[in-house]
This record gives sequence, C-alpha cells and structure tokens, in this order.
Amino acid sequence: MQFDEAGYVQEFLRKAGRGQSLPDDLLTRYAITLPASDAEIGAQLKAVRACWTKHYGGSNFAAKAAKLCRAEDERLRQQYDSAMEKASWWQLRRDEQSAAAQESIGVLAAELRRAYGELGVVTAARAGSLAESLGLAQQDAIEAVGQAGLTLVAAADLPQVSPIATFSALQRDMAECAASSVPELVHPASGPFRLLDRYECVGDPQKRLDVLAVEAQIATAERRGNSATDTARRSALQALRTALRDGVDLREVALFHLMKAAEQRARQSAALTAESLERAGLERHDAVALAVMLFDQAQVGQAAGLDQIRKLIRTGGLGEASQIAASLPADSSVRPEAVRLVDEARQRLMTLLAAATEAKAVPDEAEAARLLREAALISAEDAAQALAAVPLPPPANLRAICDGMQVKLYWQAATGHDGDTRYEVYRSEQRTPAAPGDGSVVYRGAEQSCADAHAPVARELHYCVFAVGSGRQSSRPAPAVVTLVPPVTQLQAEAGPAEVTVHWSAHPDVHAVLVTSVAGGRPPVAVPTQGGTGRLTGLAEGETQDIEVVAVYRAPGGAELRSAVAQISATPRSEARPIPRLRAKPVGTGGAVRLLVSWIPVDKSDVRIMRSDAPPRWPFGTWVSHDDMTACGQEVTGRRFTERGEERLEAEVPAGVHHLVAFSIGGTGIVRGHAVAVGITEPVRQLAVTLFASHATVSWEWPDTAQLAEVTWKAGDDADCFVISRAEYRSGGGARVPLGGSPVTIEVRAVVVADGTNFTSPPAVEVTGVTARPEISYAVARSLGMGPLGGRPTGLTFQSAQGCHGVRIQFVARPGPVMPTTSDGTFVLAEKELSLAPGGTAQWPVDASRVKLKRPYWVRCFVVGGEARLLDPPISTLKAS
Amino acid sequence: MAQTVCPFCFRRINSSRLWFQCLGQGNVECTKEVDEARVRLTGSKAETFPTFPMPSDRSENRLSSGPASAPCPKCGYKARRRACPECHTALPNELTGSTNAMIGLVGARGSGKTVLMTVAVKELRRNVGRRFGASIQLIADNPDGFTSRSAYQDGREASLYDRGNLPPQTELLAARDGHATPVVLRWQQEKARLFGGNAPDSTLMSFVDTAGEDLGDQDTAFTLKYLAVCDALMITLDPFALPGARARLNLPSAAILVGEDTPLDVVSHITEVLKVEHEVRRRRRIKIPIAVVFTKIDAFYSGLDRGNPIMSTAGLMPAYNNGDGAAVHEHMLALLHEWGASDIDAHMRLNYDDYRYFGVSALGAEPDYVGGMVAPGGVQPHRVEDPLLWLLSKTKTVPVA
Repeated sequence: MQFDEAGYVQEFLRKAGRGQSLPDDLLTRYAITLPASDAEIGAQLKAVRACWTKHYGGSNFAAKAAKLCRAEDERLRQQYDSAMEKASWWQLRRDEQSAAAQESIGVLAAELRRAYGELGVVTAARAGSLAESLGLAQQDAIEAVGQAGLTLVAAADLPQVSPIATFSALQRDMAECAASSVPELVHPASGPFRLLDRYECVGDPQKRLDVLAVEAQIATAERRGNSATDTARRSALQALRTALRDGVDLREVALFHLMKAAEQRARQSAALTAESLERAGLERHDAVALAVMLFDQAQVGQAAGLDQIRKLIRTGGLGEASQIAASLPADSSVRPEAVRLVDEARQRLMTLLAAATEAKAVPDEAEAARLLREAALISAEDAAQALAAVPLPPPANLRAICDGMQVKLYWQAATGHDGDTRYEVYRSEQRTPAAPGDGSVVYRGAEQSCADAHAPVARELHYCVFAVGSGRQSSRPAPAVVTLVPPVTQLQAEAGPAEVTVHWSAHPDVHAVLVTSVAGGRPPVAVPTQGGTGRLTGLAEGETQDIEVVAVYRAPGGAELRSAVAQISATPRSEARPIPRLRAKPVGTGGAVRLLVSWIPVDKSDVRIMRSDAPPRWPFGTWVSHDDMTACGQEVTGRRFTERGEERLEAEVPAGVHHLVAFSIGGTGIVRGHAVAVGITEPVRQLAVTLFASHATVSWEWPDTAQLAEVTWKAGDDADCFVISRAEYRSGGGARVPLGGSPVTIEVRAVVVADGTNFTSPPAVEVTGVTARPEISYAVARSLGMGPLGGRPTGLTFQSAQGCHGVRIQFVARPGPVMPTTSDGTFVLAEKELSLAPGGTAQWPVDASRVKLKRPYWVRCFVVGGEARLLDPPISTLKAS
Repeated sequence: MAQTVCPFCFRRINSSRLWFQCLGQGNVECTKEVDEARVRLTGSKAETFPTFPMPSDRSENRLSSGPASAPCPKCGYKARRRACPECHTALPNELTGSTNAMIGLVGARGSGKTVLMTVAVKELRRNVGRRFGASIQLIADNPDGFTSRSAYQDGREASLYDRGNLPPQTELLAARDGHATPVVLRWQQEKARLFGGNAPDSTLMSFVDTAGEDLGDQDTAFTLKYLAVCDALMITLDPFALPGARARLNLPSAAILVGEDTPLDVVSHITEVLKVEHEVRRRRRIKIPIAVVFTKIDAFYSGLDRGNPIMSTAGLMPAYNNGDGAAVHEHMLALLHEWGASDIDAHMRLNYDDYRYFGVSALGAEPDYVGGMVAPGGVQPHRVEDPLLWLLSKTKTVPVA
C-alpha cells in the first residue's frame, strides 16, 4: 500500500472540498486499501496526516477538505486512539460501510422502482445522481437498478436548440397538415420508426430521411390541389428540403420536433410522455427511453427555474420571473416557492412605487427618482414607466449677476442630473417662465453657466433654468430676477498741459451720461459731454482730477435708473522731459537686500521705473506708447520718498541682474530716460572660520545668484581684500586668510556683476579669537652620539622674531616611543624664564646627566608661564631611538 | 620580461606581451561584444571590439616589447590599442614595457573611504598636479563601476562638490558580483634623463574602494587578489570608532558608523591577508609601506593646538615633505595614546617595517549625517593628498624633501 499524494489530493481532497461535509467513507478518506498489515496501516495514517498538514494552510478546496479531515481525525483519535492503527479496526469500518451501503442500495432501488417502474427503464445519469445523493458509488447504482428490475439506458445526445431557423413555421405547417412527425411527413403511412440511434422505419428499413425522399413527397404534394392542408404540407416539405441543402440531419429535426411536442407532458409524467411519443409513431423502446430522458430533463429544469426566478427578481426581471412561475406545472414541488418569491417581490415593488408617487407630490423629484432606482432592481420595466412620469429635479443655486452690459447666470446640477441632462434658460420681462418655451431662449446646453448679451436694460428680468433629459419630464423652473443697469465701459482719460479729456462707451439704450470732476477738495463740477466724450479745460498743471461717470436709463414706467459709478483720475501735465541720470544700488535693511533707486526730478511728469532682464531697446529720449512702456518689463514699486532733493524708491526685487529704465509720463506722451543695470544678491550664509597653524580657512554657503565673493580681513594694522570665484573657492576648499598674532575680523560679501560693475551684498562678519602670542623657535644641541649615553641634550638655543618677556619654559624628557604632548609625567631637565628682544637669541646649557634616560626617549620644551608659542625643531632632534 | 600588474583585474602580466584590441575600422564589419574574460575577471559588461594576442612569430622575440600594431583577425584593422592578456581590458600605452604602482585603499565600512578616495582623486587632478607640474588624469573607461568617466565625475565628484550629497554606503563585494572596479589615474610628468635632458614619464595608480566588511571574509577571492598585488596600502580608520576619541566629541548617533572593536579588527585582518599573500615568514614583518589614515580629523580641530603639525599644511614644494610627515606621524601617535588606542600602534610596530600615521579630513567640516549632506561651506579637504604622496615617494614617483 503506497500513498500516492498527488492522486489523493486530486481524487479525494479537491472533490471533498467542494462539499459542505466529508464523505462518510473512512477508508477512502484515509486512503486505506485492505487487506493490509498494522505496520502498513500506521505508515499510511502517518502519510495521510502529513498530507493534510501540508495542505490545510491554503484557501482552496483541498485546504478546506484537509482542515475538515484534521478536525475529524482529532475526534476519531480521541475516540479510538491507537486502535485506528490496527488492520482489524479498519476491517470493522469496511464491514460497517458495506452494510450501510447495502441499506442505501435498497432505498435507491425502491425509489427507482417508484419513479420508473411503470416504464421499466432509467437513464444511467439519473441513477448515478440519485446514488451520489445517497453517498453510493456508480457500481452501487447499477446494483440498485438491477434490484428495482429496471433496464439501464444510455443517455442519447438530444438536441437542445432547433436544428433549423424556421422550426416554428415547420411546426405550424406540420400541425396544419396533420403530420405527427417528420418521418410521417416524409414517408406517409410507413408505420413505427426508431430515432434515438438513427432513423429506421420498422416496416421498411430501406427508407431514408434524405433529399430524394423529400423531393418525391414535394412532387406528389405539388400534384395535389391548393387546399390549406396541401399548401401547409408543401411548405413543410420545402422547409425540410432547404434544411437538407444546408447540411442539416433530418433525424435531428425529427427528434427535436418530437421533444417539443412532448415537452409539456414530460414535466408531469414519463409514462404519459412515452404514450404520446408512441402515438406520434416512435417505436416503443425509443419512446420509453426518450420519455425517461425528457422527464429527467424536466425535473432538473424545474429546480433550475427556481434559481432563475430568484436571479430575475434580483435583477429587475419580475415580469419574466412571474411568467416562469406561472409556467411551472401545478404539481411541481418548486411551484409554491416560486409563487411566494414572485408575490413578495411584487409587494415590495408596489410599496416603492407608492413611496415614489408620494415623493413626486411633495415635490421631491430626487427622492422619487431614488426610490424608483431601488424599484428598478425588482422590475426595471415598471420602474422605468414610473420614472418617465417623474420630472427631473430643478437646477440648484441659480445666481444672476449683472456684468457690464450682460447678465451672467450660474447654477449647479441637482441630485439626479447626469451627463445626459441638458439645461434650458429662458428670459421673460413680465413673469417667471413656467415651462420650457415660455419666454426668450437664452441658452440650451450641458454647461452650468451662461451669459445673456441681449438682456434689455432698466427693467425686471425674470430668468428660469429648466433641466431636461431624454425620457424624463423637464424640471420645475429655477428662477432668478435681476435688473440690468450697465455702467459705462472702456473709460479712458487723456491729460494735456491744462486739460483732461475722458472717453467712454455706453449701452445703446442709455438715456444720459453724467460726468463730474473733483479736484483739490473743491465741490464736484459737472463736465460737459458730447457723444462718448467729456472735456475739462483750464486746469492747473499737476492737480489730479478725480472723474466719475454715471449712465442714466429710463425704466418702461418712466422712472430713472442710475448705473454704478465708473471712476478715473488724470493729472494735467506739460510735455515730459527724460530723466537724465538714474542711480541704483542694493541696500541691506533688516537682514534683507533691497534695491534703492534714485533720480533728480526735472519736471512734474509722473516717473515710472521699469525693470527687465535686458537693456531697453529704445535710445534715451525716445517717445513710447503706454503699451510699449508696460511691455518692456515690470514696474518697480515700493516705498517712495524725497531726500536731499532726490526722488528715491526703495523696493524689493528678486536676486539677479536687473536693467532699470526711467519713463517720464507727461501731458503729451511718455519719454524714455536714463537706464542703468544693477545686481542684487543675497548675502552669503553660514560663514565659518577654521583656524590652522598659519592661516584660517573661511567657508560659507553661496547664494545661488553669486559667482564671486569679496573677502575682507583686518588684523591689527594688517588688512586686505580679495575677490574669490566659486571655482577658486572649490579648488582651495574655501578661502584662506593669513593669521598673525592679532584677532582677525573677516567680512564676506557676495558679488554680482552687472554691466561691468560689481554689486555686493551686505557682509557676513566673523571675528576670530586669536590672541597675540609671540612665536619662539628652539633648537636642541646634543652630545656626540657614541654609546648608550651618547646623543644626550647639552643645550638649548631660543630665537624669536617678535621678542618675548617673562616666558617660563620647561625642557623635559620622557622615556618611551610616544612624544609628550604636555610636561605632565615627564622629567624636567631645565626650567627658566626667557626674555628676548625682537630678533634676539638666548642659549641655555642643559645638564641631562642627573636623569637616567634609556632609549627610546623624547625631549621637548613647553611654555609653563607667560604668553608664547613654541615652534618645535625637527622631530629627529627631539626623539632618541 | 617586464612584470607588471593589470590595474583592472590585478593579474600579474608581462607588459612586453600585451594583447591588442581592435577599433572596428577594418574592411570587414567588426562588431562589439561583451567579453567573457572581462566579465569574469572584472565584472564589467561593457561591449568591446575583439581582443587578440600579437602574432606568434613576433611574440617569440623575448628581447623586444613586440610590434606596435597587429591586424585584427576579424576585420584586418591594424590595431594599436593594447589590452590586458588576462581580462582583455584596454590599457594605456604607457603600460607597455613598464611597471605601475598599485596603491590599495581598504578600511572599515563607514570609515570614509569613498569620500576620501573621491576627494583625493579630485585633489590629485586639480591641485597636486599643479604643484608637481604633472598631468594627472582618469584613464579607466568605467571608474569605480560607473559607466564612463563623465558618469563618475557626475555621480561622485559633482554629486559631492556641487550638490553636496554624501555618497551612500559602499555595497559589499557580494552585492557587486564579487568585483570592485578601480579608479585608475595616470601621473605624467617630466623626469630627468640619465644622459641629460628631460623626457615625459608616466606612472599608473589604481585605487579600489573596498568595503571593510569584505576583509572580514578572508575567502573573498577579489580581496585576496587585490591585496596580493598591492605595492603600497592605505588603511583608513575611523577615529569615531575609538571610545577615547569619541569621548572628546559630541557626536550624533548617525555619525557613528563603525563598531568599537572595528579599527583593530580591520588592521588585524589586513595583516593576516598580507602575511599570507606576500609570503611573510615567521618573525618577519611586512615590507610594503602602509599609510594608516585617520579620517574625519576635522572633528578634533578645536582640541588641537594651532601649532600642532596636524593643523598645518605641508607646503607647496613639488616633493613629499618628509619632516612634516614625520611630525604628523608622531603627533598622531601621541593622539592615539591619548585616545587609549595604543594597541593599534603596538600591532603596527610588531607587524610592519614601514608605516606612517596620517590625520586627514576629506570634507573639512562636520556634515549633516542624518540628511547625508556636506556642510554648507562645501568640501574643504585637509591633508588628503599626504598619504598618497608618501606612498608615491616610496615607489619613487615623487621626490622626497
């Protein structure tokens, strides 16, 4: 007994996993084949359990079955423990199983006898499915069929659909000409025939259902009269001829015809079906076999019909479900359930339709539509019919706004509006439009806004928006009322040396335009107008005129309506002179870099400073239009003030190089003045100074706009300034500043070059904490290096360029290979106070004989008092090794 | 027979018997293909034209360095480009009949090797070349595993210098198909001729960035091969890994990338490998010069006296300043003792004949370890070229002052 895991999983686990519980057959579950020894049983149980453990972790059918097997196995082990590993236990199980199977076979035989005993035959498929439902094998089914005294017939291949497209017409014609079957039509009065395996006329086996036979019958029929029966017969035969020419087997047509004729009876009784088939000419054996097959099909179809009813009720097909339920035979076991399902669904549908009608009456079209969508899930047909009677909800939040000479309307889609929803906007002067088409059309489309450019002025305008959609009634109106009183447009002012002229454009229906001017705190003055122009004369140069323009309209009743005020200011100016010199520089204010522009005014013209990335394209003194001026860059705006006779403008501008140009706006036009370039850069950030022996490395974060930096340092009397490029900075790893004895103040400015001029940012400043310490160099004199005591230090020589005073110095020795870094833990060979004149030298004798020094050892000087920095001699003179 | 080492596959090769590589300009179409030998020995999958040996009749003359050209067996093109007979990587012509200096770079992971190598290579090409009147150029077509020299410059140098990005941790060799691609530099300089006058002379330097952990696995064939052929070695040690040094600093946790025992472990591993590969007998020390480089020394600037040689620079003379180097060595040794790491010095003293300590800083200021960014002031290298110059002075490439 070998455990075939793959076969076990395929044949048992996967199949068992599809069911809700495990089959009772323990021997199959444990893959036990008897006879077997105890050892073989034990090994098999171990292998099967390992297989369950291996597969129970998944989520497939095999895993599901493996889980059930493990649970059942646990229960069995608790009950039977090690007995399960004995062959005797399994023989007992097999005997129990056999007894149970015999009992089930008896039950099955009785059932088969009851259902099929009258006819004496049963199909193998039917017997098999009944056996399976009782947990029996196919072999058991055959045994039960034998016990019931039935004959097992193999299922024939029955056509499920009509073999020809014109079957309905053929069926009608055959009924009219009283042909009970196709063989009867083709071979009239030829007696019983067989059809299940092949067509065979029992009385004359030579007969065929072929084109010759059909042609012969057609010829015979054509010789007959033109009665309705003859015509129907010819028509039926011609249909068969067409089918034959199309390659259709007339046996299938004949079989399908018999099946359709017996269909109704097959739902009720196999015996009645057999009898009707036999009457139609089918030989007894075939008639019984076909009747049993049709009866089985009907039983299955009825169960399927209930499922279909449930599905149809869920998907809006209540009508069809109702028809299916009605078509079920009165004695069908599923009919009551089918009728109940249909009735319940119809009741729910009625409730929803009633609620939708109530919502429509509120009116709450959106709620009604929602209820009908729910109803459509039960009966799409009823819901669609009801929905067609529910109007669309009106658009939401309609707003009408006067904008210049037109009215603009805005709205939002309501719940239930979709991509197919369109909107229609109507205007009426007397009342609110009640329905689409009532009033003047303003807009039709899918957008949610529109503009009425032809709106009449000075009267109440009633606007309504309707939602319309295919298959739905249009919505109630969404109304809005507005009165259009448009102000003048395109208001412009031209200033001369002593006059100002204003121009405007007014609505064609304007009654009058009123223009007033205010200047210098004096009362308003009416300005004489003509057409679209008003003119003020005799004005003082430089005095700004604030001009207001109002459009006046007459309402249909004669009332006067005034528009909103349009305002403009203008200052009379003489001919402008160009600014001869413009200056610009960056200034640091509060940590930020700003631009300071200054110029000396030459007249009373309005001076504007424009900036751009490139120099202006016109030469100095060129007269330009207002559009040219604005197109040449951005105006520099900021704090404007006068200082020392100069006009100054302090503004924030982005970092970079800017070309500035002054424009003077006078009474006769705009003239270009002096232009200048300026560079603005952010200061350097994160300035850091690292001190090394003789220099400091200065580093910083560069602003994006600067490629150069100016480094200035000052130490005592020494100072320097240099410019370093980014490349030099990167190459040198920062900027280097020399260190002396004094604290160093370091300033770094970012530099940007514009028109050959360096512009710097505010400085970043750092002061180093270097204290002034004079440097003293020293040298160690040694005795001759002979023997272990040779090479001992004998004297020191000190030298200082800056000189020193009162510096206390220790000369120490330390045994070992490591250089002393302090005088701690060393032998002091000499200690003295040292004073040197600038450039002076001093010599100290050293007696090292009192200290026992064994190589390797080090000697070194340290400052222990006073301020000085000792410069070590070469290592070779300090280390004895 | 001039024995040298291929700077790409580290095989010992006869520089008089180099192979030729076609340029695909013959009369018949010659196609580029991935060279299996190159893939196997260097990991490079770059496509090249055929590589072939010199004609057998000419190669037998052992006294000459062979012909200057040879016809491609596929297209007939008279190829002049030379290639390694082992890995088939194209070699500079200077290698023909000459020797080159193999300088190794090893150290623990996180000790700053990649940054040091990037900055040192840049310093050599930019400042050291000017100082020595030498032309120093990158010559490999895929330095450090990049697809081209420009890709290396963008991915390593521009990334560090222009964009301020610290390089990511170097992958272990296992993640690089067991190979590390070297950065090969050519040092070209005029040298005095024996009988008067000057002539251009070239030396090749090959640096390999090897993650320190690769040394822990002594079976790594590449590491063994690489260390076996090194003429000189730079060992980078991270002082942040020394508890005594770290105690003097206030470091963020992100800055500590190396374990406490790692420096001595790394040095011990290297010693073991070198002893085996260089066949050092018992009671003998390793002969090749070793530069023990303590990186990130900028973190200690504030604690060092301005007069300390570590805080000065060696000057701009076109020679290695031996006195300055000796002073730095002694001061670094003193620092090692102050940091409680005298065991490293004991190990070096007992196992090496020729070694020197260096204190360098590739970045010059503490980077943003968490953000992986260089300090705002940019890269400010300090003494990064010193170890290389000392090692080059040992191979006679640069003079000693």
